[in-house]
Amino acid sequence: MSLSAAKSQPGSARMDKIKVSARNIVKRFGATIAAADISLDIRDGEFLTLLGESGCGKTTLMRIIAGLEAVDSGAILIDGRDVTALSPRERNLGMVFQQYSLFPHMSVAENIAYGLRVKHKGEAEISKTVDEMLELVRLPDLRERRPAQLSGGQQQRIALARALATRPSLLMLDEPLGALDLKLRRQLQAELKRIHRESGTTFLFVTHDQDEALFLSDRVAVMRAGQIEQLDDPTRIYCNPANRFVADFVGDVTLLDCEYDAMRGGIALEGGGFAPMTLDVDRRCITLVVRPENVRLAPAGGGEGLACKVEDVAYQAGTTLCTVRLPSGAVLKSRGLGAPSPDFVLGGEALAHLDDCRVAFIREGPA
Amino acid sequence: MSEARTWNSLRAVAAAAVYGFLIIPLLVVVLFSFSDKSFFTFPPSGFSLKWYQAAWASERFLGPAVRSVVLALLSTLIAVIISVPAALAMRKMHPGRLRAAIEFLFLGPLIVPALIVGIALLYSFTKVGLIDTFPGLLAAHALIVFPFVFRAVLTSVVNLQQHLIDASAILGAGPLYTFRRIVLPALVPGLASGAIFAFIVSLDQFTVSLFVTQTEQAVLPVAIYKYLYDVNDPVVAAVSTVLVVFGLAVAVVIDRFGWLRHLGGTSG
Repeated sequence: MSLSAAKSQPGSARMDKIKVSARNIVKRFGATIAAADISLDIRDGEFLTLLGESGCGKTTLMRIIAGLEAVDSGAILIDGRDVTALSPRERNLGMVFQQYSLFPHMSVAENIAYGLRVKHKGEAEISKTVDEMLELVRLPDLRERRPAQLSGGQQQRIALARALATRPSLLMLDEPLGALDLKLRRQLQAELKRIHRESGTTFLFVTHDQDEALFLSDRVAVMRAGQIEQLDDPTRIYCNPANRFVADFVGDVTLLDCEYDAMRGGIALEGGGFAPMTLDVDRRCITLVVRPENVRLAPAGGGEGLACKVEDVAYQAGTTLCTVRLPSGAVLKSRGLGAPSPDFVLGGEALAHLDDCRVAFIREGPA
Repeated sequence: MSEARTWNSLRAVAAAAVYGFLIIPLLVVVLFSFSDKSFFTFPPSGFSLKWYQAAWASERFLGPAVRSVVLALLSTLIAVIISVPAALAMRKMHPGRLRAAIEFLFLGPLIVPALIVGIALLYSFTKVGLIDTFPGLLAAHALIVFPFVFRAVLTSVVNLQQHLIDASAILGAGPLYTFRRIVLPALVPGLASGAIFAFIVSLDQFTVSLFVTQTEQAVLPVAIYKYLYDVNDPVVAAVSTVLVVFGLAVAVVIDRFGWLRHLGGTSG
């Protein structure tokens, strides 16, 4: 496989093409609805992540695309071809599982060659592809090892190499880093991003880890109860959540129910307090999505701001996270660079400023 | 002397007693087979191989021995061929009463006393003319050894990992290819231990063999029994010694490959 041939660039012509299309997928397991009329287009070359808690239907949707699970109704199209009735082996896909799934009785090279042997490729081509794949995952010395001799991270990288060796239309990754410890996870996430870039393959990733999803993906589909709540790029998922669920699920957040007063140019909080900001909304009742980086604390006693009480100060390697409580009882978190400031002590008073330019909002409740 | 050392010595004595209990009868037979007298003496007197020659010359053992080995091989093969699909089908069933019932039924020949199986086969084989025929004998032995293979294979099948099978399918392999390259290799430990166990059980099977044969299809245990019925000399000890050596060789092989732990056989 020529690795330089097809690099994915967001916004490129390739990305406009639809690689995989799920149309009106419905799937029930007894009383549980795993997919409630899901439609999803995966663009050619993109890294799309299905994000949600366990039981939200993300793995089922992936298994349906893989052909490992039948649909109750709906259709799956790969490269424009309807594959709904086809078995997994006829769909030309790749998959990396959460469990280590290398074939234990075969060497690393035999594992990578498996899909190629099934397709009756010549020995020379197989050997060449195996070398290329080992190079791609940067484990060229492990060729003759057995899976049992590899670490967890190595096994998953070889599984990735095996899945990519057959040049699948779509590579599916079902929480492949779930069994690894945090540091290794971080390393492999960066590796995964690089491999996605270098292989040019379309990736469909499943995870419940929102940091992982935002870090890796071109687009993220946040799922709940068999439905996609929002499908957007990571920045918009984080800054412009479509609804309360998405806002709450992704990132550290406080949802402030408040009234926007266009006359005074600010928001009035329930339970008292006024914060000046200019919003382009035509409603009075809004919910503010306040992230820790949107909240700036100032010493009490001077000027405007929301009076609050400091409840916790935690230094987190480079940043400080202060937790404060408003008179209404709402809890805000504020993240600032550097070590804790002596101005804010536990139980002391402070003033919170909401940096409106970065505060997003969602519209709910009566107009 | 400390308490721990007392316990250690006691444990050693107990272990020695158990080993002695197991090995002394074998030792007696082995010593008897090399005796130069036709009756048992202790300590053994003299050394001769004449009973081995006599066993060979009598022609009462070679035919049955060959038959026993062929029978053990074929009945094991049949049991293997039935066990693999049976165990794989059990895997797909939901755990429940039906599955438990079928599993129990499959283990039936292990639970029902050989005497009952023998009588049952005697009645039914007589009706269809299978008594004292090799096919009849083979059917009986396949029945007896099936549970041993099935249990061992089921253990391997239960440990079979679905995501390996899924991975194979997604890589483009058909069900047969997956069976050959992924499923079967995963079943090898269970198959090997089950097959060896079945082979020994068949070789050793006396009761059922006695019921379903008369004179034509005598197997080794039955031939030994019939010889003992006529004469009691060290010829039988010589034949037994050969069997003991054979059995030990098989045991060493099983142990070498680490298949012993698969002999337990649980459906998890």
